[in-house]
Amino acid sequence: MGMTTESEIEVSEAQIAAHWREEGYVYPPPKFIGQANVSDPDIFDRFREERFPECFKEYADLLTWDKYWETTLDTSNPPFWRWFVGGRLNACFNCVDRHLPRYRNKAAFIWVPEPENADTHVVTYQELYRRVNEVAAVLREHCGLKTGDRVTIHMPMVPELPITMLACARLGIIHSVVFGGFSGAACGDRIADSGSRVLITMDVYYRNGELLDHKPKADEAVEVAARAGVHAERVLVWRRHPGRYESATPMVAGRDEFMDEVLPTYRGRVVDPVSMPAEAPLFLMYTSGTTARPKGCQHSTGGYLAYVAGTSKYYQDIHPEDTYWCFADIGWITGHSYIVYGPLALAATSVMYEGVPTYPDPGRPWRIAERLGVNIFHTAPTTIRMLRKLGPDEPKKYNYHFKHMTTVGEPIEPDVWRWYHQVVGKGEAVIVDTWWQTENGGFLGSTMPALQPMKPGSCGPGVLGIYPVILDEQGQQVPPGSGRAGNMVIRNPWPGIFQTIWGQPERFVDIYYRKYNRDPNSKDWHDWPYFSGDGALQAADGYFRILGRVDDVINVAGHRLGTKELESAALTVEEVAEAAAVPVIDELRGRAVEIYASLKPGFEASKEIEDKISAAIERLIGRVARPKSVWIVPDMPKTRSGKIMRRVIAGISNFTSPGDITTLANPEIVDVINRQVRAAKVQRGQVPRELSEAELEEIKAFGKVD
Amino acid sequence: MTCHYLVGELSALLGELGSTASSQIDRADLDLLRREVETVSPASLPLFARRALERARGLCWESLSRGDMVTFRLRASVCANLRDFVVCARLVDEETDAGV
Repeated sequence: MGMTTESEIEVSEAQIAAHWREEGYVYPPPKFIGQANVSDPDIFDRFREERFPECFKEYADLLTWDKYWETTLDTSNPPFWRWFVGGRLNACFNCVDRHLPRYRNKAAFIWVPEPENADTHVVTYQELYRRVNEVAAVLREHCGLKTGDRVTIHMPMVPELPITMLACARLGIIHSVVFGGFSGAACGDRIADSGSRVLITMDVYYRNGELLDHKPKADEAVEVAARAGVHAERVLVWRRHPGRYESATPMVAGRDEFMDEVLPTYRGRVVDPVSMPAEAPLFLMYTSGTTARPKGCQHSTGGYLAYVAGTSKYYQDIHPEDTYWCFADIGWITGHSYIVYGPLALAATSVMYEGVPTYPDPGRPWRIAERLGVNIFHTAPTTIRMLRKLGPDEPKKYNYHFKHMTTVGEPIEPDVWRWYHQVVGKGEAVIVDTWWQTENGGFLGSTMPALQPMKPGSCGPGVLGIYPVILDEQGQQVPPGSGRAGNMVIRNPWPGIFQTIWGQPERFVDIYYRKYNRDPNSKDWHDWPYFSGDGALQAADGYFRILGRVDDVINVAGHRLGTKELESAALTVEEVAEAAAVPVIDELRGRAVEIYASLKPGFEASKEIEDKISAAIERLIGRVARPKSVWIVPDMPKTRSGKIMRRVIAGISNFTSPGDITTLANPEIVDVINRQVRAAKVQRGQVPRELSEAELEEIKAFGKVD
Repeated sequence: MTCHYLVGELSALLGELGSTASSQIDRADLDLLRREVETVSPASLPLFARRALERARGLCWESLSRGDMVTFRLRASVCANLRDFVVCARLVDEETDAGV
């Protein structure tokens, strides 16, 4: 590959190549169209851009409001959008209470424990109502929690998890659910960041045939949070088998309590749902991907609930008489939106499964589907690939019939898509291949199942009321059908979008809006496109193919090396505390890698450590990634939120200006590093030539992706 | 993409592997790797998937070399699950990387 400037720019836009060719359309079966919630194309007109934002009234009207809103979208403080302002509602009431007159004895959840010989448990809407109220009474009266408090929930896939979430929602308590498989330390970080005083957990759970001890993680989590200055005063422990404590860890007196011992005091208690402003936070969902402070995505009550109810009805095609199974974990956003809040808002019957998909064998999901009459199925490409790998013919052995299937979470390859369609779906089901993110609340890209044909490998166009566009690094639109990739950007706000990063509003703006903002003083939403951080390309028909995360890449002799991978490899060296990888202009290879590392206390810079870092990168990534130089520096230039400013370092390495350093928490370090690196480069005869304008732009733009 | 569940699944599998560790050093090493997995960007997961496989295989060999078949079977089972997961999640390439 030639090292022209043009090719460099193209790579920085396109980051990840498309690995499969454009496929043909697959049309939804007439039987599906005949029963679909949406089969009239007039809906596209109702959600066209000229009708934004009022078009989302159609979603909000699926809910029961205590007080109707006055302003659909308030843009007075961009990009902190406020939806349905003036409206009041309660999320728990919308998911439970309002269904009782008609669906009291209908199953809300059918819970399947992992051991196959254990009984399936049905939770009707009436039982859900009773149990949610009792837990709400515990939270309010026993724990003293009130509206606006945060509670961290670290639980496996058991009915007590959505019951606890809904009890929080009933009181306006903000829940923060941590995936049950995460360590106690990860849970502790989230307790600390959210300032939760109460942790709710479970003693043990089944996974892959083993009864895993979960309670020790709670002890670790409380310790980790305490070290960060946040004291979780109370740990409520559900027992997987009520009355039988199966953890090896003792309960901590004065802090830990068994839920099944506390609950009898509150038996039959009814707690009125708290009427919440539409823009009140409903929950926090943390994303991983940073060694700095974790990112708690704050989702609203009214906008979020309206959005997931609408997309569940129109894109998941859930009818009250369906049996729906989203085979995800509630600990992720998919579970929040499409196991708990969306389906329950529509009075759906949902299957919940405790364990791993392939236990005790890869026929398990299809046995569950057959036995329970599941007709809507929803899972991730990784699970689909796993089920295909371990049991390619298993679905054929079972007599179930899906009308609708979803994929979520990653791009799905056409050959995997076809297996899903032909073998799992038996050629009868429509597939929606969805694209969205934790930050987004609900689907952003998908076909409308009865109205738009499927195309394997493409998620489809933007969903109703979402106007996506592909932009290059300079903010210019990459035209549909050009075959060029770029950054997936949403031009408009939508009700499901997260409100902010909990406690870090500046970081929220920096990561998601700064890149393409046209005018920081503008109050017009058109000037605040949302930067998703995913790369994509758009076909001439408007369908998007999602390619992957847009992380900074250094192109060394045609090999695209992810900075995060390089840095992670450097961090495997015991002495290294922090690492940053930057590109340096190299006459031979176009670009070369330079690594900056700071050391843990007690270690001193040495040639030996530099060599260890180079060797680790070569071993873990490959020879091509071997850094041209390793610079051990006293500290890294960082923002106040702890983010390393790679742009500044890249400037130093290339003998260009480090740019604006006024936002750094430690601006003095820039001069120290500058002198150290320049002196060494001069001594080694490594002074780079003067950069071209395009090269200067590239170095200046480096590190913009968080 | 809502791909954070890949981080979670890899973390959970490392937790299972950690529960088979017979020395404090191994346990601490796996805890550290798990912690790194939980804090890296999903884009960096392939690197950590390879490291997790390397560690899992190392532990299998270690128990085998001691003739401890009970531990070996436990570790081999987790190792197989780990390998299936990282291959199916496209974190490593089955042909070239999964044999690390």
